Amino acid sequence: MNRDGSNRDGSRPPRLAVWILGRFASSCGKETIMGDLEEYYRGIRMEHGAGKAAGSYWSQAMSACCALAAGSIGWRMTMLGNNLVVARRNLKKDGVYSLINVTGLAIGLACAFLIAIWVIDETGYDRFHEDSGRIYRVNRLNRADGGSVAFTSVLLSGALNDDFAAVTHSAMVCRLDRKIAFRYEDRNFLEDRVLVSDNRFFDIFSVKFLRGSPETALNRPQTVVMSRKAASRYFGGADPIGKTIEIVSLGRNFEITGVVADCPANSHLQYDFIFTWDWSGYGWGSQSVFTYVKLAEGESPVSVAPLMGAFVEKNLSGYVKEEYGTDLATFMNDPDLGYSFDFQPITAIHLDDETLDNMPGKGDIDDVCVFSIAALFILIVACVNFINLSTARAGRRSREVGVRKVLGAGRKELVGQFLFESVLSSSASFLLAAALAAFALPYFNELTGKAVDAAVALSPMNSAALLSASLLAGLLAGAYPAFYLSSFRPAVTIKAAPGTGTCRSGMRDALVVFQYTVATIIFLSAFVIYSQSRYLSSARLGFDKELVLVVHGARGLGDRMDAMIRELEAIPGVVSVANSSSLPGGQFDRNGHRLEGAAASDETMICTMYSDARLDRTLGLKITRGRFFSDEIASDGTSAVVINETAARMLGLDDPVGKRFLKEYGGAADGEYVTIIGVLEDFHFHSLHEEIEPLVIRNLGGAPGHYLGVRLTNEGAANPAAVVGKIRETWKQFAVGSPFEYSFLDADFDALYRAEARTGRIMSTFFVLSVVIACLGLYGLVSFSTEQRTKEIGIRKVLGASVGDILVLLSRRIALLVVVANLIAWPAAYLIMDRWLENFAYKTGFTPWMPVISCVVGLFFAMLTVSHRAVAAARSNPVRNIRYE
Amino acid sequence: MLTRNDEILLIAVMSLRDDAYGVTIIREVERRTGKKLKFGGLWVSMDNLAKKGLVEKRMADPEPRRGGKSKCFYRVTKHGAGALKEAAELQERLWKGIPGIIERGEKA
Repeated sequence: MNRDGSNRDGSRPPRLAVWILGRFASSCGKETIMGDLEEYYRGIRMEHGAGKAAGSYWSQAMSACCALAAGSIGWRMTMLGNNLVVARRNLKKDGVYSLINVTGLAIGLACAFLIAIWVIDETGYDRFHEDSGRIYRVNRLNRADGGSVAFTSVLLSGALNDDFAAVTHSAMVCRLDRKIAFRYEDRNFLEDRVLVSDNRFFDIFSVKFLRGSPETALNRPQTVVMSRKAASRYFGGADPIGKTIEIVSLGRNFEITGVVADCPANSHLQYDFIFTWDWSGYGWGSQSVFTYVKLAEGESPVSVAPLMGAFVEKNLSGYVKEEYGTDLATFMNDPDLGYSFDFQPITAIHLDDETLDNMPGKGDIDDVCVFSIAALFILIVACVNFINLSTARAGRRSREVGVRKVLGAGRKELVGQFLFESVLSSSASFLLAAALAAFALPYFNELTGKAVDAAVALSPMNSAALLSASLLAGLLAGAYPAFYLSSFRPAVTIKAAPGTGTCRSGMRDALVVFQYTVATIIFLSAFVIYSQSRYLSSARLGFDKELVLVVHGARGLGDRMDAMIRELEAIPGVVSVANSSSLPGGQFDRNGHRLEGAAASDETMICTMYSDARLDRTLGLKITRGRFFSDEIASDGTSAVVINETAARMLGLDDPVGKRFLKEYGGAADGEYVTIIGVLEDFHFHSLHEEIEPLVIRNLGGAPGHYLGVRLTNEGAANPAAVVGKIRETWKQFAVGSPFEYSFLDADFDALYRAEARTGRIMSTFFVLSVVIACLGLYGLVSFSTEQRTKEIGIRKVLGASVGDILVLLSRRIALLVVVANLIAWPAAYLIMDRWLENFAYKTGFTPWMPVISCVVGLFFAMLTVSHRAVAAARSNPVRNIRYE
Repeated sequence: MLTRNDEILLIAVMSLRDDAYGVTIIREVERRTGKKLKFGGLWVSMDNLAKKGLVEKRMADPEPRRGGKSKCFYRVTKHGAGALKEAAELQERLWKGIPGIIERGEKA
């Protein structure tokens, strides 16, 4: 026989089959089984040759494997039964702890799950369009500040389509940023989800047509497509195709050529109407539309980039020469005026709040990051809890482990048993987490402004992900006690008192500190956000927002404006009424202003608004130099402007009154002029996110502006119902056919901070969750440690310790941990919040109260948690304790 | 009552006397009945018989022929022998007179 056991002729059964068989044969019968088959193999081989022998061996081996597996399943089932019985007993015995364990993990899982849903939704905007990966929006990248602007010329889309082979389709979309009035017969409403585009819109964006078809819908002027919701508002159930609807402010009728399905919530373009417009006369200089392109397969912005230079040269040289008198290269290299084009993937638009596009409802990529991290932390904290508690409990079972080992259990069986129990707990957590998530969904929807429904949230794929997460937690939690306990030597564990097993409290302490650190950071963040919100709503803005009521859509009044304003001012409760193109908190266009005598290159873009002579009275603005517009002076209507202090500073004017601007924006040097007649004290016309910018106020000159600002008396503002009623009547009198829509300026302004308010609410929710989880964990741990120490407590009491002494003894360690957690949390929270506050140009500071409060709150919750057990232990009967075994 | 398969296995083990183990049992059964048993089924059946007390197992020394592995010999116990005897008697009682009827049936 050869040394490796093969026969002289070196023959052995096929190695793979041998190996497979080996895995199925259990330890006791293995030798016999392998031997029998090997002998059988030899026999066949001698008679019929190696090939037939191998085949017969395989056939026998495989069927043997089946038989063995079937035979051992009976044993497996029995063992499983035993595991289940033991698991149930243990769960019942430590009922409270099991409940804490399962609940803590469930809360963490549910929380992380909901946040995952939110993150997936936020990052998945606009993916529903066909070929969304190939759709881009073309932005202008300004040299001046490196910022990008989404507003481009109407000519860009056509030019891109013509000049680039890689561009298969292009479209332009103009979004109206003010409400306009639509009217059909007697139904009129102010609509603010209105787009202007044409047929090409449907080449790029996937839109479902309920009536009409994409090819014919917007292929001629003065046509409009409505959403299903809008159609039912104006037409009820009737078919609107072929009917005409009037856009009051444009004074034109539009033919309805299509009804489309409501646009989904996760689309950055939200619309109820799309109408066509005649853009002739608009050149490269007016930048007022968004340009979208679809690239051919295999193309990307990178492949298109090299051709950009030639494209710009071809299309813009003429315009630049005409408007600016310079050649293209000089223009593009000019640090103030030069720009280039940039392709932005459509799926990135929703989370991009850097590009200027005046679109509402943008998400913030910072939010996504913060919440993802917070979710991860909460999940980790919950898992850590689970592991901590499981480990502590497992220590009590060291005796059981010893006995089992004596009875013959192998390491594998023990590990299997502990893992099984752990996974059972975490499966219960999964069920509870799914239920929690379903119940919390309405609150979640309200908190985040989304509309996720339970069926979608708990879809098979999502539920499977949740299940895997919880099983993973169970495996991880069970792994440590499983491997640690199963390594005990039976003699040691059976002799020792119960509960001596895991004593390494260092790790548990570290975990408690970690949990409280996370909770404290979240607390401080919520605190700062709350503090900033308070600051924002109470900051001095430079105008009296509490007293102003805003009426929208006034442009349709035309020359009846003055008469109506006079009527309105006669209403008791109304102090004054002003007409303007924008009001603080709204949109302000920037236009190129050039001072008299300045060169063309010194033209600067300044925010512009138009108003009448009553704005200063109505808003409570203060003039610091010169005067505001006056109705008495005729020339004010055509050639006067007022600027704010920032504008004066920026233009370097020490004495601005009397200086002149070119009347026309970006106009030629020999045009008309307007004179600065006054300087206003700076007021916040943008939100407090931004620094106050320079502002130029021009006179409406009799033209109607979009907004009416109505200043109320203090009594009127406190009780506006009556005044509003009278204003509405007056409006109906003068603005026949236009709907009356109003809002309060302070509410409008506060709405600018909606995102922050929401973030604050979410942070508070996180705080509550993390504290609940941390306290649950702490409760469990404290329960265990007090139980361990019952004998010690009994002896101390006998030796004369008072209830107070015992309480201090038990809570001292916890208090220390909380303080340590705080110390770690303070710098971390500071860094995070400092970065968040950078969003705001005007912010509240950090007060020294904050760390103190967080420490106090942390200690409060910790002591509250500990007190229940600690007090019970401190008051327990020492006689009973000492007898406790 | 013994099942048919049990009976066949016991008979094979009995006739092999001291040489009854996996390979030989399979060969004997094939010789007597023509059925080719699989090893997997054989071990499970033999284990069941051992549990019922009809056979006993005996581990033997390793052999080079088996790649150095030992083998497991089976032997019919007294209880098993008794069961076989009962089965034989039952067979005789059951079949008394039947072969004649079959023959007459064929003739008719």
